[in-house]
Amino acid sequence: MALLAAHFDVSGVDFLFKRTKRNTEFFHFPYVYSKGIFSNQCSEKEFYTYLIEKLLLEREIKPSSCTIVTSGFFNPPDIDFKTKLSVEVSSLIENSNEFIPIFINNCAFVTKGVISSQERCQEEFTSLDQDFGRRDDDANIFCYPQVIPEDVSSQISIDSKIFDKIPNKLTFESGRKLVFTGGRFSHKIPYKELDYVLILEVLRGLGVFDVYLDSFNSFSLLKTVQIYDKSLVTDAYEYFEKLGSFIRTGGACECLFSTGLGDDQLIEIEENKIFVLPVVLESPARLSIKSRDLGTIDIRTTGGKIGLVFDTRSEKRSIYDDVKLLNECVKQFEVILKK
Amino acid sequence: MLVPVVRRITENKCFVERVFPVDGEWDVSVGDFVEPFDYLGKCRFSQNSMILPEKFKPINFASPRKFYYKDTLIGKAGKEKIYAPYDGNLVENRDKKYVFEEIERDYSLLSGVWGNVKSLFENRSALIETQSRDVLFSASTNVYVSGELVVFPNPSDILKKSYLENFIKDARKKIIYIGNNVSLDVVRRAYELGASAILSGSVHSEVFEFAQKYNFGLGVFSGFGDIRTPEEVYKFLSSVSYRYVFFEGEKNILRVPIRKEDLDKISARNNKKELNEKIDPKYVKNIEKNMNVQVLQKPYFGWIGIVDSISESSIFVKFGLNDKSVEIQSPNFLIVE
Repeated sequence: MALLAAHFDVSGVDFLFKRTKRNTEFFHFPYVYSKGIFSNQCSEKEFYTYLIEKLLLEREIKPSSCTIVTSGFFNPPDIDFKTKLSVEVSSLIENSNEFIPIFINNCAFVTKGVISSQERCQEEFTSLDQDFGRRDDDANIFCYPQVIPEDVSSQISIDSKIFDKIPNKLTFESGRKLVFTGGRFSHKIPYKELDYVLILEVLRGLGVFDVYLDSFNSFSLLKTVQIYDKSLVTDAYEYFEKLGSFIRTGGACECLFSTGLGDDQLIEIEENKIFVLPVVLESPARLSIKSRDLGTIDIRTTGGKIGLVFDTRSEKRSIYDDVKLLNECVKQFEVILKK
Repeated sequence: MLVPVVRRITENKCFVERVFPVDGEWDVSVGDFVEPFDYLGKCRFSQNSMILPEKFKPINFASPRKFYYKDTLIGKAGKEKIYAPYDGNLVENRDKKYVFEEIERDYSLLSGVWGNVKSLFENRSALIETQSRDVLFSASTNVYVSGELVVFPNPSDILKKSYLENFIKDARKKIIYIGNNVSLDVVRRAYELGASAILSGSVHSEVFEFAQKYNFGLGVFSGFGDIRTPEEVYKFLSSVSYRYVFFEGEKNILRVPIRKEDLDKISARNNKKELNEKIDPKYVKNIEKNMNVQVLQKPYFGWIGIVDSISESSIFVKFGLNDKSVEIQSPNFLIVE
């Protein structure tokens, strides 16, 4: 029997479709039900029922002959089809043990033990510290939640509000695998470099973190499917993109990077800098890091799409508040993305 | 590429509830056919009141209430003399504050719609089965009000306030379409004049925040910023000016009652056998060349254009200004029907 998993976020809907046990298809619908678009035509329930029916019929599957499971932030919406499982994102996160999911969308920040969100996205556009145009843009995103900002500065404004939602006391344990997921990363914004800046802002605590990016909300989809039937998901990692190792030293540091091929590199990084070293390897290289706060750490890493990202900031100051650092950071990521 | 279809004006069969402010007496029975200016019934209650300032001291007052004719001196607030604004009673509350309440007057409840009385709930509300054209708001305050619709002819910014103050006899209880954009001072003035709701193509977010704060009806058709009202919406509103309409802010709609015959004509035009026939409502469609789209990307935010060509993750749209087409990224557009 075919299976459809749907994840409903605040700016789009992601789907995982399995015609057979071995076959998996992900697809993204970049819109959501919004009263400002549909309230004179249909309810949220009617809209999503119609959407699921249409997507299944396009794949020549009758909804009645398909297993449907749903997840959502906070809750998945009601639909007219009988679902085998409906689950909240926060429960999926709490049930995750092999890695730490960090779920971010324009309304919320959720990770293990933390849910930071405003009741409604609308509350956002009452912030008075912005100019007229920016406040109107934010208000339009409330009416049309799917809208992707047309310039980098608008996206930075949205991201800095996400940053404000993160509790100050939050820290992540060094050495953990972190998966960044949620609507902020599945929504296809054209400025990918800002994804990595946001990740840097979210990381708290000193140490080395293996960072993965989930651009399809596959964490929520796979976890929901896994809860329904464990045998349908074997390896979730294959659907995540490995970005590399993010290293937070808390001050100036020295690193020795050794691939074992005689091309050892000694890297010295000043305090309050972000430095990106592009590294993608098949076999792990050795990295020794020495800093005042971190002490000496030896790790083995294969890098990833971005490679090794060193963050030597000692203050808790946001990158978004430091234009020079933000520009340097964005430029480094841009160079890597262009390769 | 699947894209939602936005329909600014839709036709619906619906129920409208008409409610007495206090218990009343019905002039209609279940099954009766009513028209917008038919009275459903009447009740009596004080329709105006004035809260007096804390320093108010009454003259010749006998607690807890005393009747005064209009323009009679009722007391002083400091050096300022205060006169009765209408025939009514001065009332002293438990907290020693004063309120002047107008005497009870008859209040007739209008039907407001063409339809059949479906049910009467005690002496309080009537449910009428009717039909309407619903105009979609991009954003609206969560207010439910009804009243006569007044449509301004999209005046320039300078004239909007003057239209509001001078060109309508009485703004009280009216639902007023102001223009493509409405400023804070105009909305504030409308609120002071006792209008029920204001409609416009767009507002700046501060105007919306003002309306939210004072629980005042405000509906915008296009969005925030300075965006024009869609032409079809403006034409339709102009055609139903002075009609009794329902501002349903929670549902983001302006409900405009219509005759059944008019609805049948529209249905025939749309080639539908009957309304609410949701065989294939098509809330989303694959985008195709020559479709009308509403663009949600600056500097064309809110503009409506025609799809010229389609690429994998964007479309090219012509706005009729010249032969050039503009690239709009997915999902920054909606199909308009």
